Amino acid sequence: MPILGLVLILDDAEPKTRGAVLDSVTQATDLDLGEPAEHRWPAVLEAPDEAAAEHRIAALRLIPGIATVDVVYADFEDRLEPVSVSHASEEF
Amino acid sequence: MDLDRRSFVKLSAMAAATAVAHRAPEAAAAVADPKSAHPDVSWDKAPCRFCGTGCHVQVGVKKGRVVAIAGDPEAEVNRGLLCVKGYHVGLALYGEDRLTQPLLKQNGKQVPISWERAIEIIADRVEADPKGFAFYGSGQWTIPEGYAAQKFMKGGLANNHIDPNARLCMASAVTGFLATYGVDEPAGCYDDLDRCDVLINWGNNPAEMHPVLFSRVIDRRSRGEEVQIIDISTRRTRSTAHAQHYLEFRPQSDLAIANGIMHLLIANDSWDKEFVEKHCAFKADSDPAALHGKTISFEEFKQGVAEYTPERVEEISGVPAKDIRMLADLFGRKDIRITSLWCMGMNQHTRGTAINSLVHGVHLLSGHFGKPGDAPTSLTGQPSACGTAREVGTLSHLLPGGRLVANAEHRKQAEEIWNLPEGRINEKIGYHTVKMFEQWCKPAAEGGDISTLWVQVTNPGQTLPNRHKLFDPGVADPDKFLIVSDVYPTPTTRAADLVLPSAMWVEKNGMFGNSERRTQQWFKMVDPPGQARDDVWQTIAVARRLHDRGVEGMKDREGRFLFHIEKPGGGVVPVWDWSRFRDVNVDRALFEEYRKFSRLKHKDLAPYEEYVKARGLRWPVVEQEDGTWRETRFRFSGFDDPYVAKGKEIDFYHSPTKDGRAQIWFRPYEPPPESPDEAYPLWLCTGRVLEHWHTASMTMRIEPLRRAMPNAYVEMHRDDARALSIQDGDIVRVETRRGALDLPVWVDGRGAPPRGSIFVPFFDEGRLINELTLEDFDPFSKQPDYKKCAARVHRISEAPSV
Repeated sequence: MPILGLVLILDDAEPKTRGAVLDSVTQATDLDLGEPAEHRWPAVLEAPDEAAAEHRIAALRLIPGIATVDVVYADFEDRLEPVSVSHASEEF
Repeated sequence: MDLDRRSFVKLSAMAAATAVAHRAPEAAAAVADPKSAHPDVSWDKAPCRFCGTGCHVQVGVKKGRVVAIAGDPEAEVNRGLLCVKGYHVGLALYGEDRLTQPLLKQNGKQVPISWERAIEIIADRVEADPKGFAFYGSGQWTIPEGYAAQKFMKGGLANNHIDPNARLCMASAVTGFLATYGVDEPAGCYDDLDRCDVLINWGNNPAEMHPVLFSRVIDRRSRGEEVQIIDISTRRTRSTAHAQHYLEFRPQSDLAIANGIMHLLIANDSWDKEFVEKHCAFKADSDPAALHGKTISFEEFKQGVAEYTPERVEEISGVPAKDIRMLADLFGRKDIRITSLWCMGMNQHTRGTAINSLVHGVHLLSGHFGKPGDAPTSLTGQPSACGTAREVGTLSHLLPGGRLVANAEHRKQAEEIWNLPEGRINEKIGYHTVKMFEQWCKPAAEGGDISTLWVQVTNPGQTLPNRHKLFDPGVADPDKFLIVSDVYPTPTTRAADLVLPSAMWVEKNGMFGNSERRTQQWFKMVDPPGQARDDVWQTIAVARRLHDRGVEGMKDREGRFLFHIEKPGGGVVPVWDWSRFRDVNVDRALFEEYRKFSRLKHKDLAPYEEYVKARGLRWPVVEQEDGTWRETRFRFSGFDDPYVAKGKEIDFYHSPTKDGRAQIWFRPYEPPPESPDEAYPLWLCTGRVLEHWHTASMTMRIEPLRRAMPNAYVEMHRDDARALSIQDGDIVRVETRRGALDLPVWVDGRGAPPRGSIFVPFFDEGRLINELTLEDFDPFSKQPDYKKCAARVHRISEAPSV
C-alpha cells in the first residue's frame, strides 16, 4: 500500500479560489492535507497499489486550480518484491 | 503493515511534504521527526543516481534495504522536490536480475567464475597487449572511480586510450566553453533560474529531462512572477506547453538563428558596446581548422554575420523573420535578464562546437552575462559528466584538472602529483569514442589495434551510433575481447566476453559533480547483492595483479604501488584485497590526491570532509580566514568569484587570448552531412523520455516507470501518417541507410514532430534505434550527431488488437 508525500501547488493563492479547490480535494478519504504555505499544500496520499497512486496523482493534476502536484516522499518497503523485466519486443 | 509502521510512514510523508511546502526543513519538526520517530529506519543523504541536475535525496534504510526516499529539503538544488524517477530511485537497486557474479563466455554461454579468475584474465589481456587495451568509461562513474581508471591508464600503462560516454553527450559543450572562455563548465548556476526574466530553451526539453530544474521556473510563475519562456526546437514537447513562444526550426539551422540574433544586435545598435570593448574579442575558424581559430576584428565579425538578415534566417531555418527580431529585441534590452539552457540538441550536432560558441557569443555580445539570471548554461544528462568525465579528465586527450596530455608542462605536473618517473605519461592523444570502437571493430590484420576493451558503468551496445558498424563487428571477432562492469544485463553485457557485477549508488561510497559545478558526496548505506563489487576496487585489483607480475607502470618512482593507500596514522592498507577494501575510505584517499590537480584552472575543491557536511559545494571552493570553505556561485563575476582581479566587474582569467577576454565567434551555417532526399524523405531525431533514464537499464526494473512507458515508438505528424496510410498504433518499419527497425506509431502523442520529421526514443533495448543513427561527428569535439539523419517509413501491419 504505497504512501506518498505530496505538495499540491495551487494556481492562485487567493483564499476564495483556494477554498473552492480544496473543497474538491478534501472530500477524498485517501488524502490528508497538512498546513499550507501560501499556495503550496502538503498532503499525504495512501493508495491501494502503485497503479491507483499514479492515477490519483494524475487526477489531482487535472483539478482546475491545481497547477501541479509534486511527489516529495515515497515509501516502498511493501514494494520490495524483485521486478522481472520482459523485453519490450514481446509486448508488440 | 502494522498500525505503528503505517502511522510512522504517514507522519514521515507529511513531515517531508510540509518541509517542502514551507521551504523550511524545520517546519517538518512541527509534524514529526522521522529520524527519531522510528529507530529502525536510518536516514542519510545522497545525490540522486539519475540525471545531471543533482537533486539530493534522503535515503531511508531498514534492515539493510532501502525502504524509503524523500526529497531533501536542505538541498539547494531541489529543495525537497523530486521527479518521477527520483522518488523511485531506491527501487533501482532491487530488480530481479541484478548481476551478482563474474561471468565468462565459454562456447557461447556466459558461465560463472571466481573474481580471482576474472582479475587474472584481465591482467593476462593487458599484459599481452598493453597498447591495445582501451578503457571506456562514463559520466556515471563516481569521481574516485573515474580518477582510478584515469591514473591506471595514463599514469600506469602510459596509455591514453581512455574515453567516457560523455564524448557522446557533452563533448561539444566542452569545446564550446574552451573556445569561448578558455576553461570548461558554466559560469552561472541554478540560481540563474530564480532570477531570469526570460528563459530560452535551445533544442532541449527540460520539462521532461530536467523536470526539477524546470519546476523552479514554473513555480515562480505560480507565485505571480512573470517569466517568459521561449522554446526553440525541432519538435513540440512538454516544455513547449509552458512557452509563450515556440520557434520551430529546421535541423541544423540553429546556427543561422544565433547568427541572425547577432546580426540584428549590430544592425539595431543594441549590442553592449561597453561590455564587449572591456571583456571580449572576436574569433573565426582558421585554416587549417583549430579549436581556437584565428582572431578577427569587430568589422570582420560584422561582415561575417551580415548575411544573416531575418529574412535569410527564415529562409534557412523556417523560423519567421519576426521571431528572429523578437529574439534580438529581447537580447537588446538591458532591463531584463536572460538565461539560455541547452543540452543534447546543441551538443549532439556535427557543428556542436560551433553552435555552443555562437550561443555564448549571443550572450556576450548583448552583455547578458555575469549577473544572476543572465547566463548561457549547458545542462548535463548524466550525474557526473561534469564531475568525473570533464573535471577528472577521463577523455583521451585530457589529464585531471583541465590539463592536456599533449602539453609537456601538464604531463610533468601530473607526474609530480602521481610521483611518477619523468616521461611516464604518453604525449600522444588516445582514441576518442568513435575511433576507439572503430579500431576495436576492425580486424587486427587490417590495422584494428584495440584488442581488449573494458567498459564500466555504461551501455555502448545500446548507445553507440550506427551500431552495426561500431559495435557488432567487434563482438563477432574472436580475437577481440570485451569486459563489461555493470549492475544489470544489457545489450552490452550480453555481448561481453567477461562480465563483472558491480555495486551501484548507495551500495558504495561515492561522489558526483552536477551541471552547476557542484561536487556532492555520499556514504555506502547498504551492501551490494551477491558478489557485486565496487568499480574502483575492480580497477585497483587489476592494477595490483599487474604490479605483482612486475609490470613497471604499476609502481611510482619510489617503487610503491600506484594505488598506495595508508590508513590514518600510517600503514599501507591492501585495498586490492576485497576483504580489506573497506578498512579505509578509499574514496577519501583518492579524492584528497585528486584535488591537488584542481587548482590549475581554478576549479578548487575543498577537503573531502567538507562534502560530507554539505549538500554539495560549487567550485571553486576557497578556504576563508576563519577556516570555513566558501563556494562560488557565479564564476568570472567580481561580486562572487574570488579569483577575479580586485576591482574588476568581470574577469575571464583563463582567456584563450591571455588578456582577460572571452571570445565571440563567427561561425557560419553549414548543412548537415545527411539530409532527407527522395529515397529517405524524413528527418529522424532520437532522444529521451521522462520515465526512463537513458538506456533504462535501471528504470525498466522499476515497475511504475516500466508500466508508464513500456516500449519505444515512433512519433509522426498526423499528415505524414495519413499520406502513408498509417494510423496511430500501426507497426511501421523505420529505415535509414544504416539499418531498419519496426516500431509502433504514435500520432498526436506526447511530442509532436512537424511534417517531414519523426522522433524515436532510445531507451528500449528491444528496439535499438542506434542501429539506424549516423556516426558523423563534430570536428573538434568528436561528438556524434544523434539528432538528425535521413529516414523513411512504411507500414508493416495495423495496430495489434487490445
